[in-house]
Amino acid sequence: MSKSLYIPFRYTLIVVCGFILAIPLLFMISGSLKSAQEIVAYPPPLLPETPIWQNFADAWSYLTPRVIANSFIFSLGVVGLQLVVSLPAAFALAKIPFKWSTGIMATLIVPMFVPGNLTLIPLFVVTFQLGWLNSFAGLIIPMAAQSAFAILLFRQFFVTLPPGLIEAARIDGAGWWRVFVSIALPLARPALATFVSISFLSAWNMYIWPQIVAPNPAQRVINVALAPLAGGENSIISPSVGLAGAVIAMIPVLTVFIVFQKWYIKGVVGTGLE
Amino acid sequence: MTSRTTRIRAAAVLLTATALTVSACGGNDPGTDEGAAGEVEGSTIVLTTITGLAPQFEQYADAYMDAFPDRTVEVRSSTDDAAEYSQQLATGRISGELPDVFFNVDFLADTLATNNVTLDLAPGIEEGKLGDLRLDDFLPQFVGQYRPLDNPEQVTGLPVSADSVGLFYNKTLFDQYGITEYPEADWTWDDMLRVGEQITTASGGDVIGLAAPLGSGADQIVFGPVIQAFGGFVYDPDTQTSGIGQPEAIEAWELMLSAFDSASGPYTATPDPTVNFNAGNVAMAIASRGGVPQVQATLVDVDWDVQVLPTIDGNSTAGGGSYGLSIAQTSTNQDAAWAFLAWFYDTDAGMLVAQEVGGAIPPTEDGIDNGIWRDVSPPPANIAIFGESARTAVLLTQMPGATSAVLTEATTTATQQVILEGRDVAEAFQEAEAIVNAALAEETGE
Amino acid sequence: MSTSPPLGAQADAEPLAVRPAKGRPDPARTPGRRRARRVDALTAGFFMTPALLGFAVFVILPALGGLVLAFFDWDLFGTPEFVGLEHIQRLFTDPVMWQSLGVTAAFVLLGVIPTIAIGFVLAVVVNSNLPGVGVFRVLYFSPMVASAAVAAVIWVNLYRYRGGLINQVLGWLGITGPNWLSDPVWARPALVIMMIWSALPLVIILYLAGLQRVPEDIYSAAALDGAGKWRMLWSMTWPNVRSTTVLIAVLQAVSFISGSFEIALIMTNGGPLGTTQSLALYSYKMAFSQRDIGYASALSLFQLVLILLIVLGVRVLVQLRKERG
Repeated sequence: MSKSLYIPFRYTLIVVCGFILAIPLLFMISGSLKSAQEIVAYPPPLLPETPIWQNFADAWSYLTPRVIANSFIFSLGVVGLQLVVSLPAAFALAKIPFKWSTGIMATLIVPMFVPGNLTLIPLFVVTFQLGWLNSFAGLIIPMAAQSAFAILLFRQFFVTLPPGLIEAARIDGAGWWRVFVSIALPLARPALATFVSISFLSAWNMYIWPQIVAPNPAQRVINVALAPLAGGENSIISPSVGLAGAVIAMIPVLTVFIVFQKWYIKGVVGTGLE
Repeated sequence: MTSRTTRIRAAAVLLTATALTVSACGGNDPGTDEGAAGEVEGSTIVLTTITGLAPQFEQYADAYMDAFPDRTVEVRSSTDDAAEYSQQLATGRISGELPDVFFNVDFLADTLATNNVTLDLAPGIEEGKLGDLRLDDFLPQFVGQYRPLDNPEQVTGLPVSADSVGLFYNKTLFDQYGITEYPEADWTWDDMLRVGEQITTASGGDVIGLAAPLGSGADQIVFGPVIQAFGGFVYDPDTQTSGIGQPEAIEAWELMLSAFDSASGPYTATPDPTVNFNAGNVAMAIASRGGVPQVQATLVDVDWDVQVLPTIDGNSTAGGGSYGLSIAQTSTNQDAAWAFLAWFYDTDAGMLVAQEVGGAIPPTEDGIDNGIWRDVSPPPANIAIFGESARTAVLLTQMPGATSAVLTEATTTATQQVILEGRDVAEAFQEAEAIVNAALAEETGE
Repeated sequence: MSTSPPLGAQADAEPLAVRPAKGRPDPARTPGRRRARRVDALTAGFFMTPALLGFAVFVILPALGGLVLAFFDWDLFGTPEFVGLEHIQRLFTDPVMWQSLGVTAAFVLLGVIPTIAIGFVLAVVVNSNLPGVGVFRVLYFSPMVASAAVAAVIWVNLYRYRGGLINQVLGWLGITGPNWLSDPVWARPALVIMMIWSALPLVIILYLAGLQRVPEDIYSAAALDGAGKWRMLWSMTWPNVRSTTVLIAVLQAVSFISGSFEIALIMTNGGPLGTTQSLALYSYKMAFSQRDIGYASALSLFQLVLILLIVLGVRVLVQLRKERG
């Protein structure tokens, strides 16, 4: 392909693929602005005739500053705690030679295949026995402990750090901790950004766990607060208000993506297609 | 070698510990979580309901707190998913943090009663905890849904609305396709299917003449009464067997299945939200009274009404049922919970709000005859039919344990076998019956 | 170009195992090194303790607790009752279990490889700092942002027989689309497409992070050789993200085996005729609609044992081939 055609072609490709992936999201946004009649009408209109902004006001009325603060405390708590415990563990598994690393890796992966709905009640029992119901500890710590993904992701990243780099530091007498903090961590920025985006999103979207562990208003998070809008067979609330709630809940998550994507795109030079 | 045996021993200890933890917490521990009467004034109670009902219950709670400013009712919404709802009740029970008042439903009622989750309300009602209201004032069949199979003298939940199904029809669509024959009270199922097919054909398939009566094959509120109208039964509590494969039932299935690909269009495996009466492209649908407020909100500028369900051999085919409210045995505020229920079921207090907001039909003789639910501004002009069909409705059969879920699964599979694979109706539903009966035998044999 | 192996590939050769670092004598040989080794092991333990402690209490213990229930009868509300191997025996005579097992296998076979391939290509496509691309890149993450329930409902509408967007588009092409979600033949591929769609954002993000580590100089070297763009993609970019691919493969296997049952639950409820009921969905329905927790656990235990056997089998085969070769 000639150079002059390449850039327009690339743009078109990016935009077209993006819109195909985003079709359901666009439906969601359009639905959030539909009237109670339009949202159930058949055939469904693509766009609302007049956007009903009141849907957003209705959904917003279910949220309080407390709920929003709780959601941030919960999500950031999970992300932060996972970073603190997973990064060193992943580094050790990747770079410090010792006997059991393979066994530990297997121990991390195998429980992923036990369905979460089956472990939910035992996990609840453990949290209850610790006396953590209706507390941020009970909300955050058990979820932060689900760290297999974090450890695998960071380990995969650390493994590919050039061995020479670490060797040199070790020969210079640097301890593992210094190697970890001053060499490995700064290089891990793309992995960190990836992890923060994904982990924040999954914590932010959690519903069942906060619902059963901390149903009290003092720890109520956004999805629990918006639950009455989820509708149901005979709900008197229009499904479009529910979609408006979902769009509102999405904003912080999208913001995190937009902010962090720079970290894993920066410095791109070529991947064979440039 | 020693290290290996130690390791095995350690693992065994861990496993046993987990099993014990789970069993200890799952079981009854009356010592630690016994309920108490508590104080009414200055009280706070928690009321949990499914998400779909949360908005209206919030309004009920607000009205209650306006009437009694020193009492608080906190409405928590759970989920609309039956599975998640059971999980939430189960975890609440483990931790002794069940809500004081909560949503109950036919397929959970018996299990909750058997495991002492729900309080027996019968003695309290006789003591006058609901004021002048007695159990006899409620429609007996609606209360019957909350009588435990093994202890029918108990009542573990109170129905909220005497809901039954009717035939919703969209006159605008009838007119559009030149069909002048609106549903009448003396219609038979054959009339309904015939007119439904006329509309589907006249619209070239753009409009569904009659939304599939069977749904995906799981709609017991429809198939139960139809089977009964043919002289059959879904579940017989005396013999503890199901009769969905008996000759009478087969006749019923053949009739209901005939709607697919004629009056009702193609089969869909999950309920299709847009093949819904309030989508405006369905000429007739069998639906519950509970859907009226939603239809009113969405079908504006459309002329629609309701009619009693058609008959079969002169028998009514209206099904019905109601979700209920229960009090937790472990509630430490039982008197406050009673006080809320007393207000809620009072025809001049809570039931007034419930009729206004949710269009509820009070489940009492007096409420059906004199309630303001009849005064709703049309459409539907013919709302009074729900009063009559509430009295005659065939209610969802209460089945032991979770066997009603087995029934749902079995009838859905049989329906799919007939529609999608062309299997013989009798063969498919005899097999379904065998599956349900095996599950019943296991459940009741224990 | 053809003679030199891709540069980054060797640094990345064994993504899931730790190799002793090169350029060091075998540590076990000298006494001083033995002490260093012990220090290493202690340090590793110190680095891992917080994570492993949390993992043991909040992951392993509940997982064991869940699986142990396979030997009990429990309806969520009563007292669990020990029944020994009853549920395990039932597994082998349950035709629904075998059908569900087949569905799980089909999901994995149809889903994992396309997810990885499409995800990789899309990551390469959006891995660009052309001005303005950042805004559109957000679209690629959107499938992840909507909750499974909302996304599933929207997809049900897309797949609808009459008036669904997909059949409308097919109609323009002169094709009469099937009744996707209610057709025993089409429901499974339709669900797999939806599952792939919902898995793509994670795959794209992971590949984007992986792509940042592809050494730049390999491209300039290849450009000198005059290698074509697509060839460079296949022969250099792809081998350089191998460790990312392994991670993604593991995560996607987990997701197609047990994670995505929620989608099937909402979109088809496992139907029609059980063609979309995976073992995970069957177990979920057993547990929470039939409240037979014991048998649900037995199903999961069986699935886990099967996965372990397959992994072990593959390892043995690889080992045998190595020894023979």
